[in-house]
Amino acid sequence: MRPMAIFIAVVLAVSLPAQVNMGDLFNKAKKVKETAEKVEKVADTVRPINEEEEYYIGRSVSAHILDKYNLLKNETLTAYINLIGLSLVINSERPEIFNGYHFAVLNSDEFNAYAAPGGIVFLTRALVQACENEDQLASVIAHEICHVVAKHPLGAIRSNRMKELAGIGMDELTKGSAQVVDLFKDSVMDISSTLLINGYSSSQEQKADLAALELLQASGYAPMALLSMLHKLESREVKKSKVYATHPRAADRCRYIAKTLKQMEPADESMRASRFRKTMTAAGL
Amino acid sequence: MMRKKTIFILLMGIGLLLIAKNWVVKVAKAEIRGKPDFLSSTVSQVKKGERVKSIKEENQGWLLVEFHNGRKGYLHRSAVEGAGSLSGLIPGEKGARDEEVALAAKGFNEQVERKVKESPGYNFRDLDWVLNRSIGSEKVRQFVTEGKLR
Repeated sequence: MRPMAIFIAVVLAVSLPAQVNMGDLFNKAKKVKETAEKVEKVADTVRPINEEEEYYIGRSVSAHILDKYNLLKNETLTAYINLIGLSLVINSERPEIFNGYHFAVLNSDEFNAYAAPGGIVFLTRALVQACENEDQLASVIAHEICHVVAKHPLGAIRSNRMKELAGIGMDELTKGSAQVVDLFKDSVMDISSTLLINGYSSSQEQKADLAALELLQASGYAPMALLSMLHKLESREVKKSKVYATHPRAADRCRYIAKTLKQMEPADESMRASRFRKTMTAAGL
Repeated sequence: MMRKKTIFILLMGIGLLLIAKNWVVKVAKAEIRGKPDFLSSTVSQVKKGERVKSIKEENQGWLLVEFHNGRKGYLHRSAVEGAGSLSGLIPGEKGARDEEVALAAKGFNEQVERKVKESPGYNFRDLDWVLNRSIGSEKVRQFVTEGKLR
């Protein structure tokens, strides 16, 4: 029995009146045991996903994304976005993650980015090509890192899946039974649907946007770059891009970002301009 | 009077036990650094499940820790989780970490992934390509310095 359940049971037991007959005492003791069991059951239903599980869920979500999109195996570009990503990560609230953060580019004409649990982040080629400087590229990566830090991808898993997992016995868990595998696959699909089809809620996007501004500033990048990228997104929305049909409108996001930027210090991105141009040319973009 | 003194000594003892906090590494591996800064040099490495003891909490989530029989260095708080100081005697404080770590690994893990790999709709080959592109701390440090980043 968990320590908390024992503690509550003892407190209840101690609070019993001193003058009771044996029958009452038996009933009270039974009640205490039932209460302790209930406390334990409630505690068990809330089963947090640990770092290792987050990583394995993220691997499968990423493998699913890579089944839908072609990976751009461009060493120069991949190294560059990993360097930008890691420069940001070290200033984030969650710099250490089970197997570290990884960043990659999908060979797609869509204008999009996805963050899988466990810190695997994808940007599309069209989005990278739309960036005019390193800070704009960093702003998109920062936004995705902030989704990972806030564990937004994991939040897409339906709560009944974790309750079901909590109810599975140790034997089944150890064997990795069909029930566990099905729950795993369903959880992966919950997240993939949110990333690829439904999108995050407006409140989650806002949280990631505002955290990204802070992260950019803390890392020395220009927070203003996020606003520039959202203007690009806004112009694509006007052309009715189906990809962002369910996301909060970029125009709404631009409004609160512009308001927050008034309280932030501007940063000069010119010292990174040269390496951005060199990398894009070397990467053939 | 004597009873009060005993309670006071007992509380002091518990307080002392709580000061030096024990932690368990929750990530696959984490680097211990010479300074509380990700760009500083690596002193050593700790792996998942290893225990460290924090001596001091620094700014921005850094812990000065004692590890591997008395060696000292800085580890970021996000790499560890509390191991509890009194082995589960206090409700809410977790004890028996080794058992818990073993239990936690029995859920969504490598074994489950192996079974998922048999299904269509997943491209783990390209995922391996992504995960094998590793960047060392030295390159990140150079990139940050050259780009006038922080």
